[in-house]
Amino acid sequence: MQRRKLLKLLISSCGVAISSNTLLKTFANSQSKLITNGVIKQHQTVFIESIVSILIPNSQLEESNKLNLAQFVSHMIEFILSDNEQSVFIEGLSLLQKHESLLSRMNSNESSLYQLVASYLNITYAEQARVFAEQSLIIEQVMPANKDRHLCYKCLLKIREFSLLGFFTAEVITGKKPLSHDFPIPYQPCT
Amino acid sequence: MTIKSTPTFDAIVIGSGISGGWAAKELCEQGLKVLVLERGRMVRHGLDYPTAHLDSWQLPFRNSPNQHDLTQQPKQARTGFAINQDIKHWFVNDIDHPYEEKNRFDWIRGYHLGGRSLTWGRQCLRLSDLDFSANINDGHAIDWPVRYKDIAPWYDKVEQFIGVTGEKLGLAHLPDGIFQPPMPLNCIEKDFKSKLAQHYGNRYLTIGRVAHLTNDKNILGRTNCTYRNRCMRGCPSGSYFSSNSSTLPAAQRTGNLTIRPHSIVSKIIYDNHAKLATGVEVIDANSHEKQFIPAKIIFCCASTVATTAILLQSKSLRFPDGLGNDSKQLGHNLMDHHFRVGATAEPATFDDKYDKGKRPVGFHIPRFRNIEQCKANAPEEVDFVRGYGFQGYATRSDWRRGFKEMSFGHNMVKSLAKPGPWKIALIGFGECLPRHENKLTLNYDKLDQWGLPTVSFDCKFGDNEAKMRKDMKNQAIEMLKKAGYSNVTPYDKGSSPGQAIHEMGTARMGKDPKTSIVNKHNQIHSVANVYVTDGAFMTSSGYQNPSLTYMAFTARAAHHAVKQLKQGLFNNAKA
Repeated sequence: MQRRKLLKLLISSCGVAISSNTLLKTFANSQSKLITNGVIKQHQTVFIESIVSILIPNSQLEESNKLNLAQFVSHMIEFILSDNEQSVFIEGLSLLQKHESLLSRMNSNESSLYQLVASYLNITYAEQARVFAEQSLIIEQVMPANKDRHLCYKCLLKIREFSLLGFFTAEVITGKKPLSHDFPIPYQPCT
Repeated sequence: MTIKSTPTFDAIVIGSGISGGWAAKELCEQGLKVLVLERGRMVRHGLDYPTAHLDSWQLPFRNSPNQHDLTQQPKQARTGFAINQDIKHWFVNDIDHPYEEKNRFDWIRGYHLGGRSLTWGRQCLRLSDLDFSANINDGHAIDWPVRYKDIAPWYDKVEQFIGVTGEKLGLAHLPDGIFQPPMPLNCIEKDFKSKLAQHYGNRYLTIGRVAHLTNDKNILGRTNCTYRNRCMRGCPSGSYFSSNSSTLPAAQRTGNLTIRPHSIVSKIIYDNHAKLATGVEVIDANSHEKQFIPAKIIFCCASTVATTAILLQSKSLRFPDGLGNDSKQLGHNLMDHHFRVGATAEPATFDDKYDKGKRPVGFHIPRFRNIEQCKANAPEEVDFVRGYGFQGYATRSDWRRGFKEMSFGHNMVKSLAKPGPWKIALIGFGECLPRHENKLTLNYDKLDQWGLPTVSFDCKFGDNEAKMRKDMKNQAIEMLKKAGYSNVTPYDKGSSPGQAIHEMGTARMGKDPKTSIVNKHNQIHSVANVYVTDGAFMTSSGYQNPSLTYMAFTARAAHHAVKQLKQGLFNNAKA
């Protein structure tokens, strides 16, 4: 998000109007660390990175900048998901991109991605339970009217799952920084 | 270690797992020259545990199973853990080692030295007379030809060698062993224990009895458990018992042991004149060359299914249906425990405490159903026979609780980095009745890459297990509610035979050669120099994890075999 904002500022300072998607593509071309593979295209990886940066903001910890979570998520999607799961994921990702593009045009500011993520994840526990229950269905079992939303959740929750895994099992997080240092005092080992 | 050109062995042990290791140790220590045949690769203790010291970030895909492995190990993957990156090398490739299932049967295997002794759950629970007399008391299958007093000294011997940590309870139906100091319960487990004592006169909570060292006394080559809780990767300090760390090194120290990996036993050769087995036919797993290796004693310790498959393959004019199969029981009475049923809850107390360390064992609630002493205290009416116990644990949930909700951003990370609520889980383990119709057979229409018939399973849990599961769930709910815990949530994820990896039966022990395969000494009734001491000999399953019983019976059988050999009873076994 911060890099998107920076690019947008740089470009707007030149007196040029530009959409989020174009920005992302421009940004993608400049990112040597991002990989592409047969499943996730480079522009999709950039989109994934943007979502990841909202789910787990880079400023959370100094070390988290080193994690390259988007690359980890893309790697997991390529090797962990089945062919069918990958197709569902890509379909959901495309829908999310379209949705974000729409939000971007409506709002013309850099918070469209946040709005996108929040629209799916800022829901009540009861709604979450309903979504999780629906996620256990195969796509053919989902009501046609709910199919797009179902696919978007498939994609978003998978990105979230892999982001959490990548973050909390990373050496710079788990191996060095005691995240629970502010655990209620006094800390009492229980034996 | 390679075989000599003209090998002469007193005994051949087929398989190097938990039973095979004990057979090798006991036979070698009594002076016999022993050959252990292992169908898989060599695994050197400490040296061949490739993931033992790896952290989460050092494992591919952060230890998640990948698609390629799922295509290669689809049946092993049913466990939910066997194809994780840290342990997948201990489980077979299902494409290379196929089997058939008429009803779902999870045959979870490892083909390497030490077998499943490297990956076992390490629970060590003795059977009791309640178990040895169960069949005769409720009229299922046949009676065991042994009682607890026959095997108790051998339990003692095994426990002292392998090292078992636990607490003595003084229960007749779960006899105490010779224990090393118990691992500690945490605060929630202690709380639950006291609540059970408060509400029930016959339900006890104790720390799991497991084969880990805790007593600060060295057992050669092994040291105390350091609570790494990475046991299934192989323990470099030998802190839990495995063949690799314990029995096979003991056997090797005698100078009497030869281990031959990559050696698949295709059949046991029988001499009708001597009425004894003369040796085994072995296929080299790599070259596919066949070789006959003679011996005076054969110990079948290849694991329940593999042992019975070898016996079924060992056809002769005398035994057209498989070695020792006069009773036609070989392959029948297949059993496993049923589990994956119980309840969870969230104790709302002890928020300021944390379960320190990575204790590699949970707690245990011994069987409390259909036990005379319990009936005397509080008569119970249940609609099933036999019983079940619970295994369980209490812990604070970690960051993975985040998978079950949808928060995001700074607050999510901060929240998940802290210990979550306490959670307690009860997992029922129930006895499975021995039923003739539950069986394995050989499929000669589908051969494996060595030209051997593949195994076909036809096994289902029955009505008694279904009724027991309802009670397991209801009792788990009741106990957690009586303890005053919140969010009591029952579950029954279903259980398929094989899934507990306690498959047993198929060459059962009994008094009568007309109804059983082996006698009370684990000898095949009609082939006295062939012993079956892995799970195949089990006549009933009990609810207890069975490995300790396999080890005790194996040690006992090995001493019997040496005695018989010294009496000259096997001298006619000539190739």
